[in-house]
Amino acid sequence: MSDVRTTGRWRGVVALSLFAGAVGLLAQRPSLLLLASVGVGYAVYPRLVPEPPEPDLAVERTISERTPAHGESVDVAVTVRNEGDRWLTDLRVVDGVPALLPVVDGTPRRATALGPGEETTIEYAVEGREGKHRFEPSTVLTRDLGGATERTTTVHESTVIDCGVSVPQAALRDLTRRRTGELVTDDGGSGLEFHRMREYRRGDPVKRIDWRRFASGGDLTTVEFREEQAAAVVLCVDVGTSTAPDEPGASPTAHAVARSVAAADRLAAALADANHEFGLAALGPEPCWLPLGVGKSHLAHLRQLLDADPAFAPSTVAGNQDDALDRVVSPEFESRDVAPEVNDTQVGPTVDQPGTAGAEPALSDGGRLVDGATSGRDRQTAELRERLGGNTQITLLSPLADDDVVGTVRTLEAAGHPVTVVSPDTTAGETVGNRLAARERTTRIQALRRLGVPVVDWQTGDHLGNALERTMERYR
Amino acid sequence: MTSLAASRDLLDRPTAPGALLAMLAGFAAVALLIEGAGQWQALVVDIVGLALCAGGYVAWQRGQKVPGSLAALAGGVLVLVALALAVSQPEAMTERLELLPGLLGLAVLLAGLLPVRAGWERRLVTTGAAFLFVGVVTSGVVRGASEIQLLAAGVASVLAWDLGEQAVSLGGQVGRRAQTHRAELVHAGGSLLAGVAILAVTLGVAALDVQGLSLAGFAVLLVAAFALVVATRQ
Repeated sequence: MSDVRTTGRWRGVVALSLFAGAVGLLAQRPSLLLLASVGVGYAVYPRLVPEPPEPDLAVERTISERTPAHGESVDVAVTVRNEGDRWLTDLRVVDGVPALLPVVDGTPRRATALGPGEETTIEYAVEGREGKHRFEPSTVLTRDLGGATERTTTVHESTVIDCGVSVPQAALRDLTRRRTGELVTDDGGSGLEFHRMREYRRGDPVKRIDWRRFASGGDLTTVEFREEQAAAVVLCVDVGTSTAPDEPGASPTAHAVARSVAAADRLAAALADANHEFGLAALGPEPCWLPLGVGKSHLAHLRQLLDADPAFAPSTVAGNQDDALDRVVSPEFESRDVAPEVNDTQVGPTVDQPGTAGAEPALSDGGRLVDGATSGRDRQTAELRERLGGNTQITLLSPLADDDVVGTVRTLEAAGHPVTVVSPDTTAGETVGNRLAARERTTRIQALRRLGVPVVDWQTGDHLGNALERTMERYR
Repeated sequence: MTSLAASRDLLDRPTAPGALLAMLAGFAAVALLIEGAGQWQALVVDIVGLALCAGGYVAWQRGQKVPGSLAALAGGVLVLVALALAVSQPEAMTERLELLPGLLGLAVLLAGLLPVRAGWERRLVTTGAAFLFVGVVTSGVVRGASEIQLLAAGVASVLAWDLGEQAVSLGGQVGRRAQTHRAELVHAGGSLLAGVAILAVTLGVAALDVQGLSLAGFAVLLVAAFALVVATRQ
C-alpha cells in the first residue's frame, strides 16, 4: 500500500566534516577538528530518529453542493485525522481533486504535524463543470523528523460532484418489447394516439368499431391506435480502450467520460420515469455490467455504480486482468431476460474457450476476457454482445474518438440491437490537434448516420435534453 | 496575468515560513562569529539590503513592477555596501576576511529561496549554506572566534541548509500557497535539538582535555568517526 523511499537529503553533510577536518589539519587548528563533529553528528542524526510510521488516517470530505450548476463554486472541506498512536511529524496531504474541476479558491494541499488523535481541515473551493466528477484518492506523504525517509500512500474517501441538468426523455428507437410503456410505436393496436382506420376483421373489440361511419355508410371499420410499449435499453458508456489514458488520441479524454457518465445518469432517470427497462454497461478496459431492470431502486443501484465503480473512472489502468473479477451485479429483483448472464462470477483458474466466444448467449468463462479477439474494441464488443438479450436496444455514450467504436456500433446493429449514439463533443479548441479530432469525429458521425443510427451531437455547454430532442425529431 | 497562472507560479516556490527560518539560521551563523562593532555594522546593513531585495521581489510578483525593482535595486546596492564595510571597517586584517564568505552566503541563500531562477532553488540554497560554513571555517583559521562560537555557528549553517531544503521540498510538494508552518516548525525543532545535542557532546569531549592530544591523534579520531558514519550507512 505505502511506498517507502529514502530521500538521501543528509547525504552530503559529511562533506562539511571532511572540509573542516582537512583545513584544520593543514592550518593546525584543533578547534576546526572539533567543528568537523558537526557534520558527523548531522550524518548520524537521521539514523537515530524513528522511521515514519504507516499513517493511520481518517479522511472526511464534505462538499457544500453535491449537484452544482455549471460554473458554480463548490466549497470543499477535507478533514484529516491521525487515528494512529504515533506522531506524524511531517505530514503532507494533497487532496485528489477531479482533474476537470479547477480550484478557484484556496489550495487542496497542506503540510502539517499531527499528534495522535489530532486533525486538520483543508478548505478550498472548486468550480462546477458539466459532468459527473469523482474525487480521486488523496495522496499522503509522511517524513520522519529529519526528513530522511519518506512514505507515500493514498487515502480514499469517495465523493462525487454531479453537475448537469436532467433530461425529460431518453432517446429511444422503434423496437419494443411487449410491455406497456411510453414508447409510441408504429404498430397499430390499443393506445391513446390515433394510428389508422382499417377494415373490420372478425374478433376486433366492439368498442374500437367506428359506429358513426357504420351509421352513415353501413360498412364496419376499426380504429387503430398507436401501441405504446416499454423498451429495454442498455446504457453503454465508452471509457476507451487504452490502458494509458493520457496517450494522445487513443482514448477519450477524462472530460468525455465525465460527461458521458453524467448523461447516463440523466438518461437512466428519464427511462426509469417512463417505466422502461434499463441496464448499464461499460465499454472499456474494466468491465462493468448491470442487468436490465425497472424502477427507482434499480436506478439507485445504477447511480451507485456510476459514482463508485472503477470501470467508469477515466484513470483506470487495466493492467490487472488476472484478478479483474467481473463486477457483474445481481440485483435483488429478478431480471427477466438476461438472468443467464449473471450466474457465474467465479475467480481462479478457468478454462478459456476461444472458439465459443460470441456463439453462446451466456458467458462461457465466468466473465473472463474473451480470447481470440484482435483489438480492445473487438473484445469489448464481443463481451457486450454475449450479455445482451434479444430485442435490447443500446444507447451508446461515446465521444467517438476512435474508428473502432464505429465498428462496434456496426456489429451491434448487425446483431439486431438498435443503437442510438449520444456523443459529447470534447474537441472544442483552437489547436491543430483539436481541429483534426473534430474533423474525424464529424466523419464518424456522418458514417453512423448513413447506417441509420441516430447520433446525438452533444456540444459543450448545450442542454442534453435539447440535443436529444433535435436529433430524435429527425427520426420520427 | 490571470489568477490561475499566478497560482501555478506559486506552486513550486519554496514556502515562506521555511524560507524565513532558514534566513534566520543563516543570520545566526554569521552573527555568532562577530566580535567587533564594525562587523555588526556590516551585518546589519547586509540584513537591511537583503530584506529590501526580498520585499522588492514580492512587490514585483504582485504586479508592482516599478517600486519592486527599485527596492530590489536599492537592496542590492546595500548588500554591496555591506560587503565593502566588512572588508574595510575592521582594523585587523584577519577580521576583514572572516565575514566576507558569510555575507555572500546569505545573499546566495536568499536568491535560492525567492527563488531568482526556477529549478535552481536547491543548488543555490546548498551553495549559500556552503558559503556560510566556509565563513565559519575561515573564522576558525584566523582564530576569530572561540570553540563554542565556532561550533554554534557551524550548527547554524547546517540548520540554514536544512530549513532551506525543507522549504524547497515542501514548496515542490504542497506549494507556497498551502499552510505549512506547523510541519516546518516541528522539523526545525528536531534539527535544532539535534544541533544542541551535537554541541553538548562535542564540548563534553573537548572538556576531557583534548587540547593535550596531538593533531595526529585528532585526525585519527576524525577518521574513526567517518568509519562509524560509513558503518551506519550499511
